[in-house]
Amino acid sequence: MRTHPIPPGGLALVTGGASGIGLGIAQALLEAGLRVIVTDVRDDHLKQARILLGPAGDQVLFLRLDVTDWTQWRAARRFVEDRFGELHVLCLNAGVGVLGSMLEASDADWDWITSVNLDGVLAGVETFLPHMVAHGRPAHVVATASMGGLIVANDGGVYSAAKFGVVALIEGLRRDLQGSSVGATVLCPAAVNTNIYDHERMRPTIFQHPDVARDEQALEDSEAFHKQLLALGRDPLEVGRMVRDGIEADAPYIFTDRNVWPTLVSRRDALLAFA
Amino acid sequence: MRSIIGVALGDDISPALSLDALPLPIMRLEAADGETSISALRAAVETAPGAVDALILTIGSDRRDLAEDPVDWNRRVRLPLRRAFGLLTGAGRRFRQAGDGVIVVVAPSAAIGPADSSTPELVLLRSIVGMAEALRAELQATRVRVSIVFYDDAGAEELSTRLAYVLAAGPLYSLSADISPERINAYFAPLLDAIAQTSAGPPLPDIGPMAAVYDLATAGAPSS
Repeated sequence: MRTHPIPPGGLALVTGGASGIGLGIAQALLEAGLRVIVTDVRDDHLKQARILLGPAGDQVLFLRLDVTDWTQWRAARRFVEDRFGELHVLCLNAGVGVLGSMLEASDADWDWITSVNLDGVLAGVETFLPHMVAHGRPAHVVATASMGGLIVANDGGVYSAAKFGVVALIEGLRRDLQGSSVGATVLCPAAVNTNIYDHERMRPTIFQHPDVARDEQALEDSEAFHKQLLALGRDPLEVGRMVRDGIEADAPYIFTDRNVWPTLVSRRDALLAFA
Repeated sequence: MRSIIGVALGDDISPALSLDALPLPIMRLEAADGETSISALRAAVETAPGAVDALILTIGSDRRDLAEDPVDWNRRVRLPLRRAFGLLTGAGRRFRQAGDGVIVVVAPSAAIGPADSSTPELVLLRSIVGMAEALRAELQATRVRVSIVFYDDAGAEELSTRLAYVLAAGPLYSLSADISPERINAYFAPLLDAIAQTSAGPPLPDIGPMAAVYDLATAGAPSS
């Protein structure tokens, strides 16, 4: 049974950990005395993170991990087991923030957004949860969902389908893991000052539209708007510290902004109106 | 209303039996059986012959797999979710083009928390609920309505009665009797408690009608 928080000296792995919320989580866990494996699909972000987290010395390691690639997940598990033996904190944070019409979304749009935002989380659970349960020491899984995993907008159906699933996954795991040494928490961020606005540019070739040219001007306009908007958002390190505190408290949910209250109440009240 | 496309998702087809009691022709989409290509699923719905006014997607219960270990996430979540997306957006495209129509997702009440079904089933159901709510939001400015009908073990007759109402009125939700106000509040209370313990983030500019789909008047709530 999980009776005490993760002790200093434990090992954490953070996906999408080289920028944004993932980097904030990595920094906060380093502050708490954990050793952290920062994983990311983007080499440019890994390079920047190496510089930023350099003062942590051998407490931090860097690993290229594409969460949509099963081979890389298996390699990550071998790396952890061979080098450290046990993983104690798994932060499944990698995600892509691409919005747009569901009706116009292509097969490639669906495949990319869900393979990162939902399948990437399921793959992390499949890869590491049996290991974390088996070693028996206090451990914790954190998945980054979104407020879009609890309420919907009119331009994010694929994103919300994936994020609703992530929230449900953690709710189910919390129940399934009762009595074990592993806890589970879902992070539902609202506006955070991250690079989520430039994700369309990192779309892998296999997920690109085969016969549709990208509208560069529209993309630049959207990026500029969202960059300006998110610059006003919560600092990623502050969110990382919220996650660290949430792990300590074994919190089921972590939110980043009290201002989302009315939107979630509106969904509850809609359901109540039909009950 | 002239005819309905009915599609069952999953091995349990018991909720689909409720469609038989509807006084309308039901068309089965054989072209969609086992298909996983989103484009092909959309095409099957968009090109289905005849005058079609509604698509009803029924999702069976998966409780018998509660103890499956290891979980086959591909079979239980990834593939049915992908199929649901192709079918629902195919219907959305067809009805948007036609000017109106009704899309209905019929799901086990387990989709509403607190979690009382297997985790894979919960993930699938909740993802489809999010998908359906978002589709309704996207189509809000049109005459196409998207509804989510939750069912319990009350039986096909009770469900078909509610389906008939939903096809006519197009509300956001139709809840089964086991989804009580207490159950809804039990799910939302820890979420709202967690939000209440959070500090307010920096003020942001108005970014538009987030969550407008839950507005009681547009949701077609009986008490609005």
